[in-house]
Amino acid sequence: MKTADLIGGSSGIALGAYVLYEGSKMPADLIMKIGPSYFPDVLAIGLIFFSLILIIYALLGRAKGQAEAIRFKDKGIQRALISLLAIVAYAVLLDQLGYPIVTVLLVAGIMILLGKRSPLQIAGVSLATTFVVWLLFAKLLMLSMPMGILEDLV
Amino acid sequence: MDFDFALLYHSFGNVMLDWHVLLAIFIGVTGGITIGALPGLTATMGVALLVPFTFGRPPVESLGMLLGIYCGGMYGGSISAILIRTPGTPAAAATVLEGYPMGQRGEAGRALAMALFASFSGGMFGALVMTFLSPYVAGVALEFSYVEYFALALFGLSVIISISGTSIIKGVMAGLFGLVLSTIGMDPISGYPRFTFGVIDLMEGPSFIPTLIGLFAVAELFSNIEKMGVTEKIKARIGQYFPSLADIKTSAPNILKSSAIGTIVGAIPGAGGDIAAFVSYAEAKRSSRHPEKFGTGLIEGVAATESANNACSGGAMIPLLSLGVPGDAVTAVLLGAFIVQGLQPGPLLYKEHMDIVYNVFAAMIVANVAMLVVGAFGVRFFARVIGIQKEILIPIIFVLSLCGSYAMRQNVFDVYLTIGFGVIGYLMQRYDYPLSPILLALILGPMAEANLRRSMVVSGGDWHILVSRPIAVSLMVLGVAFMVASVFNHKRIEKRLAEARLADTTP
Amino acid sequence: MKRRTMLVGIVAMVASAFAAPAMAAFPEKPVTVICPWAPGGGTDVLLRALSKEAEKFLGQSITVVNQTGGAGAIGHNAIRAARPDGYTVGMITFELNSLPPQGLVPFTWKNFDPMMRINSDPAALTVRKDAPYNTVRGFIDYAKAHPDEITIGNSAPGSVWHIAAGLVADKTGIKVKHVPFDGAAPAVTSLVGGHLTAVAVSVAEVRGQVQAGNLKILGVMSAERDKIFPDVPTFKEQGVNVEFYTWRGLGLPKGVPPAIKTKLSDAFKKAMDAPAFKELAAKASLNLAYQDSADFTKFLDQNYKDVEAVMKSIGLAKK
Repeated sequence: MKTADLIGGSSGIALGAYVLYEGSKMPADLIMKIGPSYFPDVLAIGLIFFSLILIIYALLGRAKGQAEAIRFKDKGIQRALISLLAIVAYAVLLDQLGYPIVTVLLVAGIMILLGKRSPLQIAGVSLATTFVVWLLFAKLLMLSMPMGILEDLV
Repeated sequence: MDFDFALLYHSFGNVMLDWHVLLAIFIGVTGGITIGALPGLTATMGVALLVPFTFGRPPVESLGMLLGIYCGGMYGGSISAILIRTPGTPAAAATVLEGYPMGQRGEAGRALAMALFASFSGGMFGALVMTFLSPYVAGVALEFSYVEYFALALFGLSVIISISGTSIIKGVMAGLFGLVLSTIGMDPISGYPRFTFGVIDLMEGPSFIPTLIGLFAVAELFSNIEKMGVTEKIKARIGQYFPSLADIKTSAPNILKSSAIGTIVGAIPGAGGDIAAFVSYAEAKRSSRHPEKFGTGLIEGVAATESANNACSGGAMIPLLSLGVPGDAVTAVLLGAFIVQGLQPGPLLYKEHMDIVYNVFAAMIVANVAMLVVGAFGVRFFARVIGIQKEILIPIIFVLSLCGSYAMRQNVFDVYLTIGFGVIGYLMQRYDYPLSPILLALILGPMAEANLRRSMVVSGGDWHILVSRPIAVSLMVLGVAFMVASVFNHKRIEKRLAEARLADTTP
Repeated sequence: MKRRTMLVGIVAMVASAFAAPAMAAFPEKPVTVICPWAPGGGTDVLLRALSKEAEKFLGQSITVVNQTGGAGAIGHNAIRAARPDGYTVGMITFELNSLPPQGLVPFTWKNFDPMMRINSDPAALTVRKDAPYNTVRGFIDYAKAHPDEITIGNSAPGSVWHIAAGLVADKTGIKVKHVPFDGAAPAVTSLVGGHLTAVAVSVAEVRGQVQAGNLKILGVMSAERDKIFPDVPTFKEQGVNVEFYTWRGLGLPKGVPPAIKTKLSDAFKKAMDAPAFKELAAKASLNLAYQDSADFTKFLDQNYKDVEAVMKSIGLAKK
């Protein structure tokens, strides 16, 4: 956990420093003395303070708990990363290809990733999910979903 | 104002004997529970989206349905909180803390049954206070100026330590991170865009629901996918739709206390079920004889949070009906529904449409009973969700999460936001940073900042304004006391846990 | 075998749901209307009621889509960027003229094709019932005698009511503190609770509290008196030459063929005249003020210049 806390603390300090830097560029307010940068500045100082404490504790060897490092060779981590890429692709393609196509692909893809092999089950679950969710959002709640290249079909 | 029992009796007749109205309430409750249980679709949204359906329908029928959605949605949020670690509505965020560990232990049925019972008890408490005490409670709303709101926000933030988990430092860091996130977007007083990188989508800050879905649902999905095959399948014990007498007995004091907290918080405009639930949780933990067990799946925790957020509904109706001021986000939408019906909530409603007011009282009480009935049928069904194969459940939750965040604003940017927060949430969770403080900070941050700045505008930059009002000072003192108590409590918890570990290693 | 039949059934259902029957001439598929504000709000309720009526005259269903956020910037941007085929219409609101001077969005009303104005609501100056003045003049004299004490609540920084209050202060030379809230309702509550001196929001937003006897309206910033409160004089009648309105209308992305635009505006105009819609607008005390495309364009041009000038004078415009 020591390394993890050192990284966590440093990220906190970096974020705090960035907030302070951006805050220094914001306009000041003359009437009420505190302007747009006041609140973020206070928070940034607090964040830096607690991050420092975390780092000091870690250096003194008082870090709590156990942490497992992220190893990219680990099968589980690889699966998680692939699923991350899959949902990013989903977001990128949602508007272009349209909801029905990308959703079927996503559900099928994740199922295969997680070890499902039966084509019938994969097709059934992905089509049913896509249809039921669409029915719920677009028909019952009237929230339209993007149709992408299927736009002209509807 | 004298209470008119005859009119109330008559109103119950209106609501229960007219099958149109009764049906509308049941449809509303069923829809509300479903919408509430789905990540991304909140009670607020459910009511808002169904308001247009009430155009041209009789007032009691329309309001009955909308109140049904309101009550049902508040309970529904707990279902996904318990089963998939995603608060279906923000108000159920605190329910995740105890409800999800219970579900993972195979006690989803027990947790769901308690959530339903607590929701019903809290909802009834709120509805009864609304019916009988409205005129007395309504005044609270007017006492709250910007100074009191600032103090209230500070008080709410003092809860962060209670929900910090193993490390206070990391809990506070998470809280501060959330507060920094809440400053993204247009400054509430000067309109200056902050930390937006010139992105229009960030002008109002990261949207709340997509952030919530990312931090909780998507983060949990990543960790589920990573650990697939390592963790064993949960053997769910279902077959329960009513909590056992023992559970009710353990939780009764918390339900009562949390219902009162929920009703009061609801009656304060701008503070809703999310804040009420967190405050109740912290209070349940503070007053517990075994605070060290909180976080491991304690039934009292579920009882406290769920009774608080449902009691909030009744509380929030009080200022809406008697002052025309909505008490939370859902009632803000309900205000529109009243106006569409040609009814202007407020003092005038009491003078001119007393019958409508009493019908609303009756409908609210009936809606809570309907929620209990529909919910009881649902518990067994929902509890089975946890038994679905992960290979099938995970992709479905992915689709619901991503589409839920998209549907909010019909905006792909929010989907990216959800994914981004999913990664952040996953990493934070992995290294013992609690996620709930971020959520609390996102809710309370804007409230704290905007009202502090508002106070400063009014006082011309004089800080004395903050200590000039008794309610505000009391709230701040209470907040500090709560914080100190939590720190001591945390020390005690650590000591007990250390003793327990010692006892484990030396048999 | 059973599973296979089910599967075939699902596929068939999916296919039939996504494909819709084709028809000749515009509109041959449902029309989408973008609302830049949240569901359940005033703008949304108005738009949904109008769309419901317009469906009858258009012969196609109309879907309202809420693209909210960025103080209306996101929705307006979506309307501007929509395909100019007439299948996307948008509700454009006052913020279209107040966001650009603040440098918050890279477009103005000139990037749109204004179709029609639907309503316009004047601002009103409202105070507590027990305030020691009953006229706008009285308020101004009081403000001059008590500088640094006057606080006027509005619904958001740079919002229409913030600008209205700024305009009044600017024209009369009084010193006031503008207190932005998160919407008009909390500002009104704060006034009722006695934490503000006045609010400058629309008549509809204070109506309930005024009728209940908690607040009183000193004057409305319009050319004519209000229909609900005909006893309240206008600012002009009281010798303060201020007129200020918020407005809502329908707009199209640039480049929609004129024939299609005519079809759409005919349908929506007929919807505006429908009794059901008029009744709803009256209940919600919305002041319907139709203008056709040409008049609306002229109105927008003038309104934009006014707003920009006020924003500069009260220091909200981007330097």
